[in-house]
Amino acid sequence: MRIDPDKCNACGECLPYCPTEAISLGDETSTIDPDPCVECYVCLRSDVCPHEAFVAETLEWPRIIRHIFSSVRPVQSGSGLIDGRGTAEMKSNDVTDRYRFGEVGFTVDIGRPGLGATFADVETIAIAVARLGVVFEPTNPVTNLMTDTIAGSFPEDIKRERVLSCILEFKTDEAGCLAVIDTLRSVGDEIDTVFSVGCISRCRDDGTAPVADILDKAEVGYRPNGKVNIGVGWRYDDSGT
Amino acid sequence: MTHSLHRHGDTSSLKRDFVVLTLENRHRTSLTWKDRLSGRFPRFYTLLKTVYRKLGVGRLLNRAGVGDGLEGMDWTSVFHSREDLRSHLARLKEADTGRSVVVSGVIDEVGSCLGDLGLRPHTVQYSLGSFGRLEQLPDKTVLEVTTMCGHHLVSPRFVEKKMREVADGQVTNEAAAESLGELCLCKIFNKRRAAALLEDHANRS
Repeated sequence: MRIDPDKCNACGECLPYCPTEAISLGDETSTIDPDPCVECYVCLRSDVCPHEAFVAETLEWPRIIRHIFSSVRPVQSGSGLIDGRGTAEMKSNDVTDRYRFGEVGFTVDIGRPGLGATFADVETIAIAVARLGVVFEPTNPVTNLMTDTIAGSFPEDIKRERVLSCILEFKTDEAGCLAVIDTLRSVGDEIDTVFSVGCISRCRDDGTAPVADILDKAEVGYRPNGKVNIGVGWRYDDSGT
Repeated sequence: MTHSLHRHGDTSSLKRDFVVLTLENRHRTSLTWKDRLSGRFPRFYTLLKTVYRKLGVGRLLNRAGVGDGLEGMDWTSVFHSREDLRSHLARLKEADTGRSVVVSGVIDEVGSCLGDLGLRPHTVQYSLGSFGRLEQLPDKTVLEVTTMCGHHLVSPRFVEKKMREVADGQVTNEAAAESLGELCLCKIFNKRRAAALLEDHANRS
């Protein structure tokens, strides 16, 4: 994204809209710093500029990664590497059975809430949890960018790319759950951003989640709010076909 | 997807904030019109699907609230009370669309609603909170507002601007919440809760 200097009159109205504070006010025109800009297009879509000074530039690889992960509407990279922003994770688990009894799923929203992250940060976290033998979700777009899904490494040319957030998605067995959490806590000191962690568990017939027992026993705190799949999706064998 | 897991706030505030996501079941095999069409006229079906996606028909139908189960459509709804949530879930249960349904909210409240309806949680996702450079995050009230847009398209500085405007009496808290919510393209930003948070902040200022 850039600002057309011939159209901008430096009114500054657009500055608060930018989630990464990439817009700065000059004497005669505002400008966008390309490093913190994550190509989310909030400035453009907000219609805040009456002079239509925002210009969406054609994005080439690897910069287009910023837009794919930061804009709600995905675009095609042309590389064939990315097939979307994320997966349905636990949202369709009543149909897909992605997370089974005995397994614990993790979602690590890197850059969330609101700070953004580079793929260098993403790699630091991915390598740390990969050492524990976690299995990265093969259909997740971040996994698809990895050069080595066992080691959790990424190609050099994308490590400087910054996104508003992206999700590492992986699972382990229940016995490995606490080691993952300990590792995530430790790796938080090695990066220059924040990340938010989700922990997924299939529920027993009484609606309770085995992972809650593990977290409670280890005195690992979790928020009162979360996500609940209510189990009304149809499985293949439920539909009678 | 909408990213509604990590909404910040205290429990009493979060009890007025439920998001329901109803997913198109991409694995279902029941014989809908879509299945019959794709089976008998696969090329025509492919063409229709392409046109449908190109024109963004699903999003238009979704906004109009007349979604009909077409492929690729996920529905989102925001509720402010457990009673409204329960009514909505009762309708979804009755409709038996085959879609997966996910509720974001205070887990005990959601569980209580499900129990009333003879349902139970199938899979749960807990939020363990945020790790890393937490000192870089904005203050508590700002985060309570910004995290209601899961993609973080509502910037902290814009929230702070609206907080000042409400506190100074330049705009109403409802109007400010409306402006903020317009930036959330998934429409899961809870404007009523945002208005309450802005009012609370103005009263404290």
